[in-house]
Amino acid sequence: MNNKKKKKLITTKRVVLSALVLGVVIFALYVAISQSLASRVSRELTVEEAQKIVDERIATLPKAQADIAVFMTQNMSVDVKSVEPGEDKSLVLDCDVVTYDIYDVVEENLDKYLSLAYKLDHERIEKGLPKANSTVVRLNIKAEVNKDFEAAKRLEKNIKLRIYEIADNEFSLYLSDEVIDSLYGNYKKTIALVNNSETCTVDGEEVTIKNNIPYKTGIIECFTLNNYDSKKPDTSIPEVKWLNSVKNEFVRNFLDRDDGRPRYMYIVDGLKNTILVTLAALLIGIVIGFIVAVIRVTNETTGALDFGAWICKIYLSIMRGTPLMIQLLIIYFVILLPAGVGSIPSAIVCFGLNSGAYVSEIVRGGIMSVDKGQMEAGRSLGFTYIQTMYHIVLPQAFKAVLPSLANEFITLLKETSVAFYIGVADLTLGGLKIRSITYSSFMPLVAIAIVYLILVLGLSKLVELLERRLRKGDNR
Amino acid sequence: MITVKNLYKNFGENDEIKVLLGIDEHIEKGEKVVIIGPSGGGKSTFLRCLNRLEEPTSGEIWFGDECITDKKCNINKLRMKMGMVFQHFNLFPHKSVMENITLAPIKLLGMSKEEAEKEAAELLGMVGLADRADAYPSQLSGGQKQRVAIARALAMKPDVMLFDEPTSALDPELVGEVLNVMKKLANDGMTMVCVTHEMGFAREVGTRVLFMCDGKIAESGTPEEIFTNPQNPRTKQFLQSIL
Repeated sequence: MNNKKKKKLITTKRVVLSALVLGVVIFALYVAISQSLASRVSRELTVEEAQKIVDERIATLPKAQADIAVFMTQNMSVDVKSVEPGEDKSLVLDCDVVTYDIYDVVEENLDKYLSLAYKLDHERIEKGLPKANSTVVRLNIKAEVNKDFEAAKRLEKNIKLRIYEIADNEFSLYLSDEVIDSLYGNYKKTIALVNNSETCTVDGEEVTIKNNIPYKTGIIECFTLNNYDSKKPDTSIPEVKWLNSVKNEFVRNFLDRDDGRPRYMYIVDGLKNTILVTLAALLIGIVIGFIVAVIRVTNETTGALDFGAWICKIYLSIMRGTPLMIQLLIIYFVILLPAGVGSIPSAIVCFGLNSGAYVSEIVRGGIMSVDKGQMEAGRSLGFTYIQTMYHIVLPQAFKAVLPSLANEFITLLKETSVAFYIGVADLTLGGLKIRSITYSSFMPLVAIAIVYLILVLGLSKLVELLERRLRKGDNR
Repeated sequence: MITVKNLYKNFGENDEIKVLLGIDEHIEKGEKVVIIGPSGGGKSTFLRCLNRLEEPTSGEIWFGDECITDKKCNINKLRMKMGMVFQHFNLFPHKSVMENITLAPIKLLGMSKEEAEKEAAELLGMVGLADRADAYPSQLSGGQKQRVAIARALAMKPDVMLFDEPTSALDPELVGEVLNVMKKLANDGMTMVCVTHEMGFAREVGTRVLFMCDGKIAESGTPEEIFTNPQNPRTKQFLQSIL
């Protein structure tokens, strides 16, 4: 017995130790990899390589970005002025680009586009036809816009194309934000321009145009830049990339703040409720369990308390014969919510009643396991049946069933995780809340699993200590 | 002190096992009654009926001027006046020797803890275990356990002590220490009813011997009469087989 315990202790120590070592190794690996990467200087890139990368990269871009990239590379002299390692391990191509200033072109010619659209509608209405649809309007205007762009003056611009080294000899082109933003900014200004135009000139006559008429939409669509992704790509090698993503996920799931509170507080608050519900339910469960067990044992051994035993049997059948979740929903939504009781007290009542059923069976076994002579000895001294139970039999039964009770309590702790169904903000709901905010499953769910695990291990340890204390001076 | 009238006891759901078949007996105050007889003769059942650990099927038992078998009597009150010692000691394993002895006086007689412990210490001195007050039953030998059990019963200051084969579960060399305590008790004038197989003890201490077999008291008399000149052939047979 003693040997076995020693062995168990050694095994536990070994597990903890190896977990620690593993953690240290992983951390060291992370530091080493990121350090070696930081110290590496990117080699120089040739013009041909840069051109090839640009072409390859454009082929993989979403359409909106590809359009801009093609447009720019067609109009730029791909003249690599300087290739230098950037601070985030990227190479920067400094390019002179000839581009249009879309804003200027539109501002100059807005009246023309609007009146064109206006005329398109009115010519059809005069002929007794329905209004032109927006696609027709847009195509007409787009043709006009393109014509104007061809004739417009071109601006010389100096832009930077970033080329990231994502691994040895592996490069990736990235259009820097400022390139897209200059185009996108123009686009936004243009939309504002169009939307704010209340009038336009048609054949020398000023006419009012209403908001939300199709050709205004048509003009806007000519300049739509479909959602481009301006996020910086992760430039690290895959291993570091993975660790980085883990780190980012961790920060996003636990440290980012909502209304000034870091997200891990959802788990902390939930933990409080889980512990509250478990402890309170446990208390109720023990009380009910002992009462039911005593009633049933009394009925079995002396034949008294028939009615009580009958009630207990019904209680046990219901509690053990229906799913816990259904009991929870019925107790809350059918019985206690209409009576104005909150979700946490309801959960406590439900889990207490449920646990009481299982505890009573355990305790009954414990009482039966106490030698019959104990009851006789107590009675022979003049104790009543109840007194003997209380002073002599139950303390011994309790000790005998402690391990089984501990299992029941661990089960109870885990089962309280369904309390979120009635809106108890417990540990589980805390994790689910984070999940609903961040849309990531791994971190929050694993986190609550770990918290449950720690609770269970702690509880087991406590029971072990209690058992040892009870066993002191008694080798039974 | 104890009067038994026409006592019957059956076991089994349909009373198919008949153990006591009409027992009439009277035990005077100060008597030391020793009950002997073959196994299955009903000795233990008879003893256990005396404080109603077994519920008699029919018949009456009077303790002083109260009828134990009357449903209305407060049996718990009466049991306080009838100490009982069991074959298997039945000490409370989760309590120390001191707690075993003081539990009932504190809870039932309303004694203070100090008072109860003082009396318990005296009793432990009497049974020769003054130094084991803090031990737990599992740390004691069988003889020591039985002596603690006797002290526990005496702590309630009973008028009569019932012994149910107190030495049967003991190693032979431990029997003596228990019997010595019982002799001491007898010399102090305690009324005793004792089921035993210790014929030496029966002869030395008993004022009267009951021979029970087949659910009846087959023969009753002084130890002298029973052991030297038994009248009943069953008694003769029994004594021949064990002596």
